[in-house]
Amino acid sequence: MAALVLGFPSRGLAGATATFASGRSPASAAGHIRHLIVIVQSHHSFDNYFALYEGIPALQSNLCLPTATAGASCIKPFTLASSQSKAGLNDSSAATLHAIDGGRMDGFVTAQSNTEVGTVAMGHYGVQEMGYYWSLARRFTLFDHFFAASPGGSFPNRLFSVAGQDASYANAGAAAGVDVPTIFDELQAEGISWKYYVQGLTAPEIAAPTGYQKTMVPLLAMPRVLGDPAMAARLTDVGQYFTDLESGKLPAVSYVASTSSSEQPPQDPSKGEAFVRTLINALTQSAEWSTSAVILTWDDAGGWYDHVAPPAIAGGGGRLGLRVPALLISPYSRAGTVVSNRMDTTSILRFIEQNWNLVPLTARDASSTSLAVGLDLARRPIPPRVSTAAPMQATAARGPAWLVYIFYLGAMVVAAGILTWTVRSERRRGGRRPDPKLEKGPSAQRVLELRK
Amino acid sequence: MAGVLPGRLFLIPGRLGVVSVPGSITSVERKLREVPAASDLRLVVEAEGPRQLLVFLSRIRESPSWQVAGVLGLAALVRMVDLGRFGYNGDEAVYAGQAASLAGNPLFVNQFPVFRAHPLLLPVLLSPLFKEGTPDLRGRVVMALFGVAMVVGCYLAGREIYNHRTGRLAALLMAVMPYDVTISRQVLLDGPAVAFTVFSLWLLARWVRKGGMLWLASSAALLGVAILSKETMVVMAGGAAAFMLVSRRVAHPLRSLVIFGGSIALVSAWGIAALVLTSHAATGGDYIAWQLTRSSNHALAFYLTTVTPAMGWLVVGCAAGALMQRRNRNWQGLLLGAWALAPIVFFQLYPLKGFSYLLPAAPPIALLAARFLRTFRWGGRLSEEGARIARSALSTAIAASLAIGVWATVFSSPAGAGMAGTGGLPGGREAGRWVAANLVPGTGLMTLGPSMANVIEFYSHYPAQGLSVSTDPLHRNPAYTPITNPDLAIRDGQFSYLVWDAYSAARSPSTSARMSKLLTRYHARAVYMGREGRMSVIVIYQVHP
Repeated sequence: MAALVLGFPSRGLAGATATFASGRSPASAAGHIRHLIVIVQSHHSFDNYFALYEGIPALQSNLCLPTATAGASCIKPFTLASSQSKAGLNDSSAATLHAIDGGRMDGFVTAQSNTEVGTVAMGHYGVQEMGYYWSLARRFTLFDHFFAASPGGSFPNRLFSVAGQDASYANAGAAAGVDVPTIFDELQAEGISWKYYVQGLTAPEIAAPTGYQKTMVPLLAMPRVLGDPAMAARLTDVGQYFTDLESGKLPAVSYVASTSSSEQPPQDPSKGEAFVRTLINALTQSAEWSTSAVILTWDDAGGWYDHVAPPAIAGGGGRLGLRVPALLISPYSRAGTVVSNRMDTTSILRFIEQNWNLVPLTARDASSTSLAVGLDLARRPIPPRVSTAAPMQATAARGPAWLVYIFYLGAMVVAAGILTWTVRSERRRGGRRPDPKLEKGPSAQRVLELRK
Repeated sequence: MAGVLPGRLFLIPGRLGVVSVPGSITSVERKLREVPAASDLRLVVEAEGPRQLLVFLSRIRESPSWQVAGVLGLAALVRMVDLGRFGYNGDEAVYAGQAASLAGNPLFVNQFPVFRAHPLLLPVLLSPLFKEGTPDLRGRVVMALFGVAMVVGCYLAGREIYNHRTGRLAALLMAVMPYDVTISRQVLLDGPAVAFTVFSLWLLARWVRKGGMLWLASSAALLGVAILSKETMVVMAGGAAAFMLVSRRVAHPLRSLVIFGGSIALVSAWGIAALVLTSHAATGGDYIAWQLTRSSNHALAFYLTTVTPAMGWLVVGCAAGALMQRRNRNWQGLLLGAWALAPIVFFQLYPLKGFSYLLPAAPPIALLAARFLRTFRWGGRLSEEGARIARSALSTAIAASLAIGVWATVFSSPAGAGMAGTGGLPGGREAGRWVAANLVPGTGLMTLGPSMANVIEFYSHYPAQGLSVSTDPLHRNPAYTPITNPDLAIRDGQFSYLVWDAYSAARSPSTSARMSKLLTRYHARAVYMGREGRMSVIVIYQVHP
């Protein structure tokens, strides 16, 4: 179990935050975690998704970012309305560095093409849109200092997630192709199973992927991988993920890339949430749950505001990218704990290397903090639970039960009172005297005849 | 009345009577028939020598309390035996779930809303039994006891309106009437509601016989309690009002109506107050609006072809015969006729039809049938003794045929399970328990209809929704949430399992066909199969988007 370094012990309650030592024994996690599933979504900052989450300190009330228009009022963070248009924001390296502004974090509005778009960048989602992700944070581990490895956008960060470097990627685009060693080369060499599940990937597309697919799946931008049948065969449609889970053939390391459900604006986050929910629900319903961990994170902040200045990269080389959400979902997660260790995209690689005894790919992943700080192997495993999108039945309207009892039992008491009054009254008058006002029909003698 | 009758037969009111019997038992019986029946006359027969056993039997036969106890024992037996053979059906699951939710049972509070379509007297009464766990049998035992109470009420009403023997025969007919037995073996609102209406009928008859407006108020109070069990019992007030307005026996019909209506309101208003003060008046309004605008769910001949056989064709025929007899054109016939016809006419005209809805008519029909069987003269073709034997034989034959019907419909076959209100749901409980034992908590299940969803939710506590629930708010029960886009819901992971059942499929083949397409489209794999005999009645499929 990781030793507590700072803060207070994990109490399994939403809102508990702590920092944990990263020097854990790789062998201890290897015994418990036999499957790692890496799900990378797109284009959202930590504050964009978790600023209003109950376990996170609120943003400063006087926070207000300047606009490019002289004399115009500044822009405060605000909760995005469901109907509000969420245009895609500029998340290029230049725009991100402008937003960071040397650590002052005041350029998010002016980094966009105009004030109207820049205003959107200050928005954040509430519980209505984030219900599922927040519920995951309450049950599992949320990292609140998980930075994108690069300020440069989707492709370099996705490349970092598999290679520990961006291959000096500039803005040429994934289409140019890259060729760097990846974690999959090591896994392949060690005979450790792996797969890259891609949403909607067809066989012809593996031979000739689209530019967008290359951005979302760095391996598709590597001719070397596509030319190697043994490697290319491990790129498959996400439907295979469900089949593998069902047949007990889930590989040791799985990467899942969404394409049509990536959450990249202007797409509504609910579509990506539904996609992720499907993946995690399938895992929780499989036999692999007890030995699995899922890291769910985002490739970059997508131009959205985040208030924490990214730290400098150790050994020079500029800054990390902005904070992105990251959740570690496993039976051994620190339930309901917000872990504040400084981490970045390469922490995923660090965990794989530690858990399966692989050599670090680069200095970046060698020096990063492993995801293992989000695990507590000594705890009782969290039982699996399927999450659904919406209440299945109309909200159970209970109301105050005591009022229901009072009124219905009151009615019974009133009825019993009338009956008791009747019987007592009958006894008082002898019980036999007919009501003369009613008696206009048959005589008592006739009644006796009828009773025969 | 005390006195000495010819032939050494002594009757002493309210005290022990002693009879010395030198002759045959039949001769004593003949003498007894000459005595006007009176509830306060008690009889003990004392005999000597080898006839002791025969005389003992005679004692049982002639003792009102023994006879009634025998009928009640029979009623309890047929209502209790093998009560847990099948699990709850959809309606039972709802009422029991409401009771559990009201009791704060943590397994139910988030799944079963307390306020739904009906008043809450039954959930209130059942709630102490559902505080924890998932009990089902104990709820049915309470219902069976209400069924026995219904038979008691029938006897009392028969004794009040006619005499002990007619009450006893009516109670026997009710005790073994398949219709009443079937409904009394389920957790439905009709059982307690009709039990209260029968006692209300008894007190109404007592008012007519004895006078005194307090009896009328008491009758109305019990009808108010019946309305708090099921709101449709207000129809019986219509029957009572019609009697008061038409019968020459009632001297002041308008004043009587005011007292009767006021007493009903005094009791039943508490339920409305509960709805208003717990801020669920709108919920109640939604249900009423939905009920009133529902389209017809059965053909016009539904009651004739389903309820009449369950009541017994001969019983209904005898009741009709009684109404046609000239001797029954009196206040008794009028009261029972109004009490029976009020629900029959109303629910025949009402578009929504249900198997259990005519239960309030069963006691007056049994009473009228008993009256017919006790007084039919066979057109004067038989002697007095022959007619008596023929009536006894016919009564016995009808009671026996009803008992056989009970055996056929309740114990030997689950055939009725396809229709709402006709019995438990074979395989439903087992499927729900399998879900609870084998699926990950929170797993969503899509069923064909809301009834199976209720059963699955009751026994598994897992969320379930019916595919057949209409997306049009005007055509669905406000308690149910429709699956707006089943494909999307499966792709989004809302439903990982689909539940097909033979009962819902028989009711809605089009919904079954829709589910078949989903099963094919999402690579379904059967993971559970519930059988009843050789037939698969419930199949649970796992689907993958």
